[in-house]
Amino acid sequence: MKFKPIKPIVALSLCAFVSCDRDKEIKVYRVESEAPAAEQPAADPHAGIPGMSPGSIAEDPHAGIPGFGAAAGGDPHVGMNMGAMPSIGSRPKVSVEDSAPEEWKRREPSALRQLSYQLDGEEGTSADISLIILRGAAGRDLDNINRWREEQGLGPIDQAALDQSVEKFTTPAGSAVAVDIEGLPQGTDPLTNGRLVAAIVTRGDDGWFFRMRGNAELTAAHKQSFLEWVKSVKPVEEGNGHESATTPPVSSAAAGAESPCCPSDEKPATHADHPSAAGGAGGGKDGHVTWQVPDGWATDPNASTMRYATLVVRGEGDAKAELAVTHFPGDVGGDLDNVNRWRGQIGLPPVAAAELPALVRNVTAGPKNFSLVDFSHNGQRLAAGWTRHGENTWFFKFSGPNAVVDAEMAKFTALLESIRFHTTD
Amino acid sequence: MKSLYRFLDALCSLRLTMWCLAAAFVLVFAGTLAQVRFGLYFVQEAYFQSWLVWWQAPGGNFRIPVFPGGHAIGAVLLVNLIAAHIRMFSWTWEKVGTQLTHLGLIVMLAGGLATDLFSVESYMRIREGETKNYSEDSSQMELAVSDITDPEFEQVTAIPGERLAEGGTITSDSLPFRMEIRGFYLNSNLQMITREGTAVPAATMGTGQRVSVKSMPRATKLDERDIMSAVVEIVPENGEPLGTWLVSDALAAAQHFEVAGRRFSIQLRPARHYKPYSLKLLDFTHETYPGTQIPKDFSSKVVLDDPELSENRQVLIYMNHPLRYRGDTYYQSGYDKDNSGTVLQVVRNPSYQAPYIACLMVSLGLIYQFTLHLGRFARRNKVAHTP
Repeated sequence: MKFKPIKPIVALSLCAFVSCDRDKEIKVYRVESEAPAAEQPAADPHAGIPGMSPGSIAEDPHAGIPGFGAAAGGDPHVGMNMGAMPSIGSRPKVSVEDSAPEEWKRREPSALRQLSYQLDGEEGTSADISLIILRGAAGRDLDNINRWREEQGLGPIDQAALDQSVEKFTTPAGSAVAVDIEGLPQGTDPLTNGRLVAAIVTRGDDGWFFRMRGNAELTAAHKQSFLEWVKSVKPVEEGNGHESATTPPVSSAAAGAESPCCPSDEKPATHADHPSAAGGAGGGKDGHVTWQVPDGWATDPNASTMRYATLVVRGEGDAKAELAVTHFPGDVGGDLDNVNRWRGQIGLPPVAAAELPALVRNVTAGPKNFSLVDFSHNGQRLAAGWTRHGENTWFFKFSGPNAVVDAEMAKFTALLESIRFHTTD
Repeated sequence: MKSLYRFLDALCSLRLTMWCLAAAFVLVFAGTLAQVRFGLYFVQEAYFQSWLVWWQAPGGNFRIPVFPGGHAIGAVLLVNLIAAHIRMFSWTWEKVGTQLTHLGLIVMLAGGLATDLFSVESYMRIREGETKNYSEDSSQMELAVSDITDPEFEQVTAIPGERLAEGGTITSDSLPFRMEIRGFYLNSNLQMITREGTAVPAATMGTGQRVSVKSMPRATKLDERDIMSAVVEIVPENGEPLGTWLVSDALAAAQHFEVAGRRFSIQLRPARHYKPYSLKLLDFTHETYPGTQIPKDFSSKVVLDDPELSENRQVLIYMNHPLRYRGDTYYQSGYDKDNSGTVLQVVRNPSYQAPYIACLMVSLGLIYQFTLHLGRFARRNKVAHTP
């Protein structure tokens, strides 16, 4: 028998080395242009940053690139010799449109700044306002906010303190967290520094960083208009007929996107000390809902994922009440069944259908009406509001020891009144 | 001649098979432990997709091989199986099942090796309404230097990140300049330079004038990846250097410069694999279980447009229902947090049918062999009970 094992071994080895080498091949190919390149003379000190203007980033004492962290992703790799191929698609671009207050002076954007404004106050005070969009920078709020705190001369905070200090809301671009940091770093001019109000909007894998930094009084006075501006900024998809003056390209990366096995960690309910703090938005096309989180209430991070959101509020000692937010298709057995189930949960007997109307009252939340029942028994109190939206019924059940629920009932009602659905019925 | 036969005997021996299997166990065990420290993708590359596992001396520049890698073990096992198969091959009806089973195992092993060597995995991320004709491999970076003088087309010179890591000089016939690698960071952190700060600008031109770069330890977690950066000096042919540019995975925008009247852009980006067709995302649907945020179903409705083959049709890609087209397979892999974009895993695997064929061969072989033995047993049983 003739047998030469050396041949397959050599062949395999060659394959291996070929596959190693091809990873280092320089490829040359021709594709359709993705976007017109900006005119930029090489001698320009801002070369490489299309539209870069003096006084924006180069001279900006506050500018900082929000944390560039590791992003998700990673995949096995093998190179591929492409050769010349026709290009059909184009690299995605991010354009935005906004609605800024009249007193803000618009400045030229730069490669980093998508939008840039200056706000001048009295006696030489000013504030600098900007929007920077960064690829793969989403999801590192603590790092970014701590860096901003450091820039304002303050020490870092932990996640718990961050959760207590941020406001959460939604914008057309995505969910947002806003922070207000007051501090004047050593050696800086109080006319142009002293306070930073910033918001981070998460859009896909990208982080949208809105910042207003300037004189403390001026910045504080314009905080509300800044937040309104943040809410006004929306992306304009390429080719939909909208034009924007500021369109530096921002490329996308597959990394960082949500994997089906790992759902978004965005939870709709948020906790914030600020009474005007808005609840975050939930994902999913079945409902996009926000509400005002009452002062002192907090998201339960260990809550069941079977719920849309869970908020807790603590009373004296270990006493706490819980708000559970759920939504289900249809009417989930009907109002009578639901009410009787809740009654049973605190030890009350069921009621007949004829008795139900007397137990239910209405709470108005914008264009919506919530039905609300409120029961108390054996030291426990349970209040539940529900409404229909689209094909779903949304339930907000607030329950706990009498002492806590009694004290927080007005806030629960206010929360119900603040609920807004941002998708159509 | 005797030594050759001894070698062939060893090559065909069951002992070699057992050694290979034992080595595979050790490799898997060591790789699993190493994954904690070095991360999945590094370990995949260094332990399983390599011929040898190397040990790098701490602080030293040399490395020594300490164990056979996945490719070596697989290849020896494959050769062992083939050799045994050939040596012990005998064409009798009694052995057909065994031969088929062994052949199936050979196909399985060869297919696995081919997949490892020749398959390409990348990702295509598309926003609703967007059209893409390339996928990106975020584990492989490339420095794209494009001649953008022609407003309609650009000539791209794509230099692999591995080449940047080697440092030195990079030249290409397509470029009228050479590139000197002045700095390379496998993982880095960029920081804007503030007026009060003392940080050193990373480069003399472009964004790098206002940014400092710091080397970071390699990312090891599954949900992290390295942010590669490099500092590149552009030196025109017969000319003075133009300056240095910072290129980084963290910088989204390309930077521009001129050489010899031609305009160029430079950008470090995930390696791209262009397709001769495009996909446009019409709609992405993400369903959750009622009342929860637990994912239930994902689907991407896309338009496949291939002018070359006059193909234009709508396709729905969802879990376990990939799109197979022109050798590429598109799996529903992920989605953007705002549910307006999809991430499709794009796999080009020339040997993707090997496991199916192998399983079929092994199954048929075993069924044949089992039936044969059952028939014999039944016949013997019948004879034994015949009065």
